[in-house]
Amino acid sequence: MSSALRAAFAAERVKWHKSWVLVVAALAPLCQVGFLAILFWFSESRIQPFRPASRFWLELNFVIWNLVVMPLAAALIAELSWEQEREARAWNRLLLQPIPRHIHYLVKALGHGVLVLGSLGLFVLVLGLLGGLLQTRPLLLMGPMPWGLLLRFTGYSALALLGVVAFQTWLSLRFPGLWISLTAALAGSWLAARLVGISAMGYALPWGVAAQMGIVFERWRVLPWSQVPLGLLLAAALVALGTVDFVRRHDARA
Amino acid sequence: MSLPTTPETEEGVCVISTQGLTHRYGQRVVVENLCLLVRAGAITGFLGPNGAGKTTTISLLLGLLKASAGSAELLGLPPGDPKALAQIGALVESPALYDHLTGLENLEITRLLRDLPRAEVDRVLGLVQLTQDARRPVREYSLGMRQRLGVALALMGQPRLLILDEPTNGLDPSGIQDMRELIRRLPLETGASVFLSSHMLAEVEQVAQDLVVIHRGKLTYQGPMEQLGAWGQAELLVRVGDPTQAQKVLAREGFACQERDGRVVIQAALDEAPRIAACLVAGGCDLYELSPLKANLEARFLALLEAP
Repeated sequence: MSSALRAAFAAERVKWHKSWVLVVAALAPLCQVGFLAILFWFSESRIQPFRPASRFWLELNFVIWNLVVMPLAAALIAELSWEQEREARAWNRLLLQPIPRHIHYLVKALGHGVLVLGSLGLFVLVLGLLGGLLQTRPLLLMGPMPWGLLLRFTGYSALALLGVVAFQTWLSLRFPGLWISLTAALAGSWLAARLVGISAMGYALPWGVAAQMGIVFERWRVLPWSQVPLGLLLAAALVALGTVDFVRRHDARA
Repeated sequence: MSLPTTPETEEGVCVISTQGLTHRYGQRVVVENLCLLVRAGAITGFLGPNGAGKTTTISLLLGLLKASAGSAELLGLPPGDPKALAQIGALVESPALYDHLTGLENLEITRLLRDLPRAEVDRVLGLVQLTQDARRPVREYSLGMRQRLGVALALMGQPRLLILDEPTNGLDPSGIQDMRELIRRLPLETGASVFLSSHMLAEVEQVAQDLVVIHRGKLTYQGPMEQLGAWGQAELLVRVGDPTQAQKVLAREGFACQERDGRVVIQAALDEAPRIAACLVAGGCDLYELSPLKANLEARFLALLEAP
């Protein structure tokens, strides 16, 4: 990492203190896993058909995370983070620092990525803890926790979120507004989920890789790891596009 | 590697120079053909009424806006060049602050971006007298405290050139006095050059050595402060015990003078002041005050603004 990027990222982390972006990153996984744990706890008869319920616990959580909660969290984090700069009119200050302009955008994208990855980390931690708690309910027929599956799902989800974060970072810069971000996140994820198994077009969407998580309910199918590089390429292209857009906008500001 | 060459004025090296700098918002010309030379080591007042184009000019100089035509150089480098920005501190419009963070954290962001030692934060906090309130969230700050924090941000890293856009906005009289003292001290203590924008002549007059006046985006005056006040042909104001007697004494010595509001106004250069004082005392007048007539500077400034 270049020294300018390191310095700008350290400064970016200071802005997270007592900010809503941290609250969203922490609350998103806690709310989802907590809510599903309560549902599981009080729905023994409905959970039993999906035994081993430990596997179902992971499948259901990762599907909801990748299709709904992660896209929403990424949208909220990106929007709130750019809003922080707009509210402070911070460009009058940040662009006067001896940092190349493209670094400011790269640091934003990196920061959003780190926050959503951190959120995923918390999600996995709580998933394991509450999964362990649910195993104390014999009637749920949880069985042993499939740690290997948890690891695979986590790795896939970590790679899948990069495209979503890259897109939401650029979208919130270009079209500010909470509702625009949230609507785009939900609509994009819904469209990508609709295309799963029907068309390869889904992979051209930032949510394409994440939406594939939906196939895990069909237990004979495997996650399409081979498509992940395409998703990463799309994420890189979106970051590059956003960087060029950011620099051009500020260079031509009038 | 060759160092950038900096233009020079008659007095020395220039920290800011522009040539034909122009900026348009659509069809409206906001800054027109501005040719500035700001010398190093001095405080230069950048004066103009509201809407004259001061903030736009500053934004152009700092690379926040792109010029429609013309060019500018700061410390010999083009606007927005990171090497130049590393040596420039600036406060543009009102301070850009993160309200949810403390004053300390706001300074920490700039410290990290400029790769400065931690002690720099304490130094600038002390300079603007915000040490006591540094750990309070900025949202609780008064307008004056926000302004001081904005100046502290601009002072970080001991910049060679400080560009301050209306730094006394929102300050109370004692805050204005402190700010004035701070600005006055900077060139002496750090060797920094200060480019101070204001719409108030009285504010600039007290600290600046040089003056740039713009009106409707055009340069109307550039040069030493005393030249604008036409000190060479100034009027002097005398307060004496008996104005009539003083007039007689001065007339005998060949000075043109008249009584105004119980005082005597003399058409004379400032360097005549010792001779005037001597002849008044020798003529038996009780001399209480002898000073240049300040109204001249203001009148000249207003005349510049009224000129077509």
